Amino acid sequence: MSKGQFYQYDLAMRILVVEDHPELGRSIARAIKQMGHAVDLLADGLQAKQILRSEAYDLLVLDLNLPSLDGLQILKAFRESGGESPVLILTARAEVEDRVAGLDHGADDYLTKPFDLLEFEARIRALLRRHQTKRNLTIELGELTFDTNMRAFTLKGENLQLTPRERSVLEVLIINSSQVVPKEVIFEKIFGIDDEVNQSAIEIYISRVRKKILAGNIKIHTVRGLGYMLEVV
Amino acid sequence: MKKRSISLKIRLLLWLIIPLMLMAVALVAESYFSARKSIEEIQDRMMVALAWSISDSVVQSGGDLLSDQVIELLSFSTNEKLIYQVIGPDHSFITGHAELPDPPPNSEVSGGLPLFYNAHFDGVDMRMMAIKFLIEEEYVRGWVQVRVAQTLTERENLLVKAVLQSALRIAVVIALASLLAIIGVNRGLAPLTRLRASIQKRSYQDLRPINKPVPSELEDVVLAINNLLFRLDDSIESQRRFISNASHQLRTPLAALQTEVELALREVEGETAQLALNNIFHGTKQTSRLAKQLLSLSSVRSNLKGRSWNAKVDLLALSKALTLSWVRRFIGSGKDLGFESDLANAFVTGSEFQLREMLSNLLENALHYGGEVVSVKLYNSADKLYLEVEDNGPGIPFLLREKVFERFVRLDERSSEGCGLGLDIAREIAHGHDASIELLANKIESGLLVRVTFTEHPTH
Repeated sequence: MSKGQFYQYDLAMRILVVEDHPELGRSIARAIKQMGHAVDLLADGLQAKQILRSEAYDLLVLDLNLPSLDGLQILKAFRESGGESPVLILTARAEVEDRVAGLDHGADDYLTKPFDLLEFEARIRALLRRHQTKRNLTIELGELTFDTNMRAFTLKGENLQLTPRERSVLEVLIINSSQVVPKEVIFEKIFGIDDEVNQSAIEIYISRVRKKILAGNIKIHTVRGLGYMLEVV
Repeated sequence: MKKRSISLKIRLLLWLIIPLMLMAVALVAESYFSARKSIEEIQDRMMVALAWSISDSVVQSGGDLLSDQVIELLSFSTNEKLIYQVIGPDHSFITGHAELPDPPPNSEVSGGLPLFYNAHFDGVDMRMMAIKFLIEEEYVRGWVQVRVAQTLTERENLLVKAVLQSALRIAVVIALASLLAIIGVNRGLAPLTRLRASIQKRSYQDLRPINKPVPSELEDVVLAINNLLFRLDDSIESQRRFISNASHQLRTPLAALQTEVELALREVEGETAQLALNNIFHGTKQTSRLAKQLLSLSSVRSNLKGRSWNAKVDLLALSKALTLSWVRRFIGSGKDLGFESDLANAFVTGSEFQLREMLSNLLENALHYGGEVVSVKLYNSADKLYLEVEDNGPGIPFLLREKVFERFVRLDERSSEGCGLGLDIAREIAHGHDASIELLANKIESGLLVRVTFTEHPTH
């Protein structure tokens, strides 16, 4: 993707689902289609590895337990061949070792079976959004739009005036929208290591940003003791 | 109570000390008899010497009574009261005490040889001796018999003194020997005590073989215990693996079912169909949760986790991250899940996986049964670390609080997704970490407060 080329967030993406349980695979594929994306469904690991060599996907949903080649091996081969698309791991094993192994091999997120469909969809959306940010795209959340290239926000089509620190706050929130952004992460974004400020200073910036986006249909939700979350009202 | 056999230590001590005591008694008896024999011999010889002196004095004095000074002199050498009698060759009384008892009838006093005998005289027991001397003097010629009687006081005094002395010596030796026996037995049994301590110290999940150097006598015992541990481990492990496999196998079809039902709920129209799908949806979720918890339970039990059992876990980072992931799951549900702690870190020793499972189960309970506001709190005081999950829901009546720890007990049968394993799992994990878990009333509002109390072991 060349710089400066803008994609609409809701533009259809190509997603590969590798799941050997036929009913589950079909259900997932159907859910993704309903989200407005294109889906390819495969049940065999080796087949998936081969297809990934020729085809480009925006997101991979990988089951860990697969015939012929397991999910982790596919993931490893994909990353080694330079694949950068986000990968969501599905696993029936809840053990922490599996989770760690998945993330070590370059997975971006995991879900243990069984899962709620709403949660699955939220993870997919979050992964796609993060991916778009990496590729210099525009992010839209409700009436708020963020041009990742220019680092500029527009609210209801109008330019949103923000100080550099306010912009940093809103930026990290919109990139991770619908997810809780820990206080520590926001803190690192707006203050340098040498700045001797208390973590509670974040609250000042949050409340300033809140006032500025009051007109839109989005709001910053406080998660007690943990962080903040930008979501559509 | 089980009937207990006598302890090994007491057994050994009894076997060492009782023979020592018996030996002591025998030694004292032996010293009594030998002392008595020596004392008798010495005193008897003295009596012979006395008889000689008496006979000499009588001859010199021409048959008169001995003077008081001579008697005193003679008594002094033996420390006993002395009575004597001198009888002439024709059995005529020469001098001394007139009525000293005769020797026993079947004995004969011969010349030069003393005859000893015991007699009762003048109200006391006396030792007596008779001896004949051949005297050639002008007023008496022939065998003169001298009889000497002596009281027994000095003999008894000497005997008592001798026996007491040797008894004292023996007592000291026995006491020292017993002390050494006690020390020796304790030292000797030390490997056993150490073995016991090392087994006691173990967590109930630790079924690794005992790997301590033990004396050869204990090797077989340890081998047998290890064998048992191995078989136990094996059977627990295969049971666990079965549950684990079974719930793994359940999870994928359940995921398919749940996803399908959720999709159908969106796509299918009609009130009856919606109602039916809703019921299926809740049933599926409950089954899913049961499968998850069964797996969790089997993993908690798993001693495979032994390798990650002694890790240092930052409970702060863990509970923060976990609360965050639960916030993520409940986005849009209207639940207010928060986290409160002033700590910079909170290290405990144990299994990260298990602690995560514990808090997961507590959070799941709070979010499903508790109210809208759920808080995770972590704080310390003195040497205790407290992890609390608090909700503002209906709470649990005091009398039912112990009951909910039981497996498959649910207070509200109508609630859709519970299966009654969560608190049992949480408690098992807490106990595995030397932590206690209790259900309290939320002080501020109604609701439940679950508190896990960790004791900080600096050397654990």
